[in-house]
Amino acid sequence: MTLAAASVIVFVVLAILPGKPAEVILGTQATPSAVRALTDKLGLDKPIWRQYVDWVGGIVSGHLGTSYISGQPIASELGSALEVTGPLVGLGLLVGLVVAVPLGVFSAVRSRRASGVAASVLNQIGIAVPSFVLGILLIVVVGVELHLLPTGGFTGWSDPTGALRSLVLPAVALGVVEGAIVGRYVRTAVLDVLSSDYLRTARAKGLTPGRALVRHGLRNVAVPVLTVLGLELAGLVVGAVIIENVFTLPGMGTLLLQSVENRDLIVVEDIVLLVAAVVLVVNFAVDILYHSLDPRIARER
Amino acid sequence: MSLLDVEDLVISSAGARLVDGIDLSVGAGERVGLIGESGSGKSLTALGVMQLLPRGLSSTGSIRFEDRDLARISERARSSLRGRRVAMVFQEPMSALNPLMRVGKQIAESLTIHKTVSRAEAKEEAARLLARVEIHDPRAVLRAYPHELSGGQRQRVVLAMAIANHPVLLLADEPTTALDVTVQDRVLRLLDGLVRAEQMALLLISHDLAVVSGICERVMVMYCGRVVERAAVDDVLAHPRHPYTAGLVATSASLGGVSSAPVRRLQPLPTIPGTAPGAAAASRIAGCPFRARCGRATPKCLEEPRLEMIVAGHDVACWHPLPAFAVPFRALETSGGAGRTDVALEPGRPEPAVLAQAATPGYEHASPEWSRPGGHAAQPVSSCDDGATRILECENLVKLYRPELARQGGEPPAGLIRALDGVDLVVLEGDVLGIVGESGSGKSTLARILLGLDRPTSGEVRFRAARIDGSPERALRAMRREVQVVFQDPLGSLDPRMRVRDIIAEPLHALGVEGDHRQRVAELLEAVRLSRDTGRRYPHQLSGGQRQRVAIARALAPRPKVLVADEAVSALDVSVRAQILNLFAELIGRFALTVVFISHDIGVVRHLCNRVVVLYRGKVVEEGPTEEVLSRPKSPYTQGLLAAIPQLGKQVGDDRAPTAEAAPASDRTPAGGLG
Ligand code: SF4
Repeated sequence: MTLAAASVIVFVVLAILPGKPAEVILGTQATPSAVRALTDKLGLDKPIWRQYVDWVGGIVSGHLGTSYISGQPIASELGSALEVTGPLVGLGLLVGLVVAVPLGVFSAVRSRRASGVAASVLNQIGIAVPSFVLGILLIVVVGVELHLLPTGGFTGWSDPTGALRSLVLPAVALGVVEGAIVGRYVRTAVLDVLSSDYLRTARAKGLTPGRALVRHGLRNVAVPVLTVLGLELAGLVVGAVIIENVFTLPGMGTLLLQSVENRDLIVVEDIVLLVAAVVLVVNFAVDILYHSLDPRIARER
Repeated sequence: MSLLDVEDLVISSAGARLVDGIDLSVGAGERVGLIGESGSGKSLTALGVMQLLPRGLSSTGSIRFEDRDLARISERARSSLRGRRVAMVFQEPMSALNPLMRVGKQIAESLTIHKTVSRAEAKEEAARLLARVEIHDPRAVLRAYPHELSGGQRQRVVLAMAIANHPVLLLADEPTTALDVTVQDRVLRLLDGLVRAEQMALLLISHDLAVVSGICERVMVMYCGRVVERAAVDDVLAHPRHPYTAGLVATSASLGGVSSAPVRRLQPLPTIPGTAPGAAAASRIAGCPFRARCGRATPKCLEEPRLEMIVAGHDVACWHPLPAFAVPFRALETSGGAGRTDVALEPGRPEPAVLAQAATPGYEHASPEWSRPGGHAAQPVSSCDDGATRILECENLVKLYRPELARQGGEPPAGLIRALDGVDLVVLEGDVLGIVGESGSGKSTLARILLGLDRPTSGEVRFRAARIDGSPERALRAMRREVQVVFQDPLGSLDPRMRVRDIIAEPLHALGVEGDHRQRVAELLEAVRLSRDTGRRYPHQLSGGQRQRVAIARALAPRPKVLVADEAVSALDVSVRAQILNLFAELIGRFALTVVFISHDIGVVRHLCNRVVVLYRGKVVEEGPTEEVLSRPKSPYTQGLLAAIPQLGKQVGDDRAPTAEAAPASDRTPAGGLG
């Protein structure tokens, strides 16, 4: 349902965008008759609802259509782009969690000491820095100065280590910023748990502070953080679009920008729909996880 | 050498001394009570002993427990003592358990922390522990999550965790305060039995002298972070020497217990005037912290009194302690046929309460308001006199809920829960009607329906002969103005961002009342005995009692005819509770109010109400004039309620009425949103 609404919105918005695809494809030198011929060929003269039905019909039957520009089936283009973006987002999430959980827990547990305050300040700085700035910084320092990792481009998965190496920097740039944001939520959640009665009960049973937090705290922290994580994953996908351009990775973001420039509308529409679908799936997964974590919610169902 | 020896314990937060140099000792197997109002530092003292203070608080002093100083040893060493040698039970059964972990696992954890047992063994032992704390279906409860249990069950679970390793010392912080009276009674009995069977030492912390006196041998009274009196329980009850303790004893004696003698309605209860300043503020007061409220104060009291022995085993921190009474409290209890309450309220008899007041002029008892003729003129005639106007009535009320909140471990209700099951009720003009029932009895549902906030599934509600059930909101406006409500939790029902004067004026705006609102607010503040500048403060700056006064002032603002008080004093400390009850009594007389007073505690109803209705599981099980119901209860349920009220000097478990079976297990009634 949500997906259907998203598809309509995307389609309509792109249809009213200025710039006719056929004109853009053929360039400024094109004769009107050539433009008309191409428009005909691509089916762009049909009424908009007809174009929509064709597109959706294609998707439902498993055909994403062919690109206006390259004439390639979009599925294969998308597929190779996903091979880059998927792992990038995954790695970004991993980096984000690796940053968020220790940072949040540490700044909460030490909130009354200098070290905790310092961690908190560091966290704020992390939030304030945009991911592309961090990306450029990483390129300059790690890539250009230290020559440790490639600064851009992608060699493909035939060389797994090479592929991973080229994804490390972008994933760090992406993940650190997201991690900083999530870290704030982790901090708040941990602070809540630390002052909770049940944690005090756990301490009174004889658990040391650290073990009490791990055994009784973490799951209670996970509940609110999970919600935020679900929302932040969408942010991660958007962030990936920018980061891919900074690191010139041939992922979905790069593909999306190219297609918008070229008015390759079908590709744009497919990508947006795919992202929407991913976000929905993620939210659904979060929901399920949420219910398995918190028995109070599970019961209400 | 005592088991626990605390010396000069100071707990401070940002410079304020919240606990100000306390000495405390508990011998092996001894049961000691720690009494104080909220904010007196009694709970902090217990947390200080456990070294589990909230973040931001620090403590100094020595805490010797079994020859080790808990304040000096490592956190690891302390952890190995906690839960094994010394255990603690906390007040809030709702939040004391991890909501995301099954109860069985939480109990088993208490065992596995301290010794190596297999999972299966731990589970077996957990089931045995649940049986020990008298949980009826241990297997089911083991698998349950905390939110699926009732308050009483949860407190039993916490108790099971505490005794898992047979500790030698148990600290219990208000273990029954949040519970209904009958549940409280049963949990106290259980606690008492366990402590005796295990030969544990007990430090029982409570605001309620009656609760402590039922279990403990010795008692310490705290005020503003200091111990003001320390002696054997019997000594303190019979000869309270500190003026504060004397006030507490008098209040508790008049509030608790049931006498066979007629109750004098609307007569003032003895109270201690004023409010405790709170430990943080008290640490800035020079001299005796009780000075502002004390009738015996002299210039000498500007110097701080030290806790000193006046007779063997009786320590008091006061420059002018009260003399020992001629007639001890225990003797009074059995003297003649006259019950204690009667004596307490009859001036001139040698009862501690009265003596305390005689010795300390300035108790509210002597307040001139009571001599005003208006104070008694409006005393309504008892019983159902059909000559009086029926102001509020309902007929055959039924309210059904869907059992979404049904629990595991209890009987699964088939279909719908009957919150109200055919309730008839008449409130006459000038009535002060008490509705008594425990959680799950449907009393709160009934209140909401009477107020027009909820609709009955079937049946009729009439206000001045006009149907109000199902009427549109607009039609209820007139009624809204005439019927006002006071809720239990004053903090929850007052907007934290509004000043007191705006809170009080709010219903005037909302109901479009004309006139000078500022003048009216000033009148109302005076009526509820709050100072004028209280109007400028915010709710969080007030004490619980003051907040409840604000809530009452707000309810009175539109000059209502009827006041519905839903558990209006249940969340208050005993001493404050008496003050608010006195205020109600006074206002009823002064404004000729008709009142519906809803409570789980039949004891508090007695002083106000001319008629009582007892609700149980949505049905009226008893109804009649207060005296009759209280002195000759017909239904076994009412008898159980009466027997469960904690009384001064009455040992837990020594019953006069055979109640253990008669008392319905409200522990087992559905815990959901009823009642
Ligand atoms: S008599 Fe003096 S020292 Fe004693 S309680 Fe009153 S004010 Fe304090």
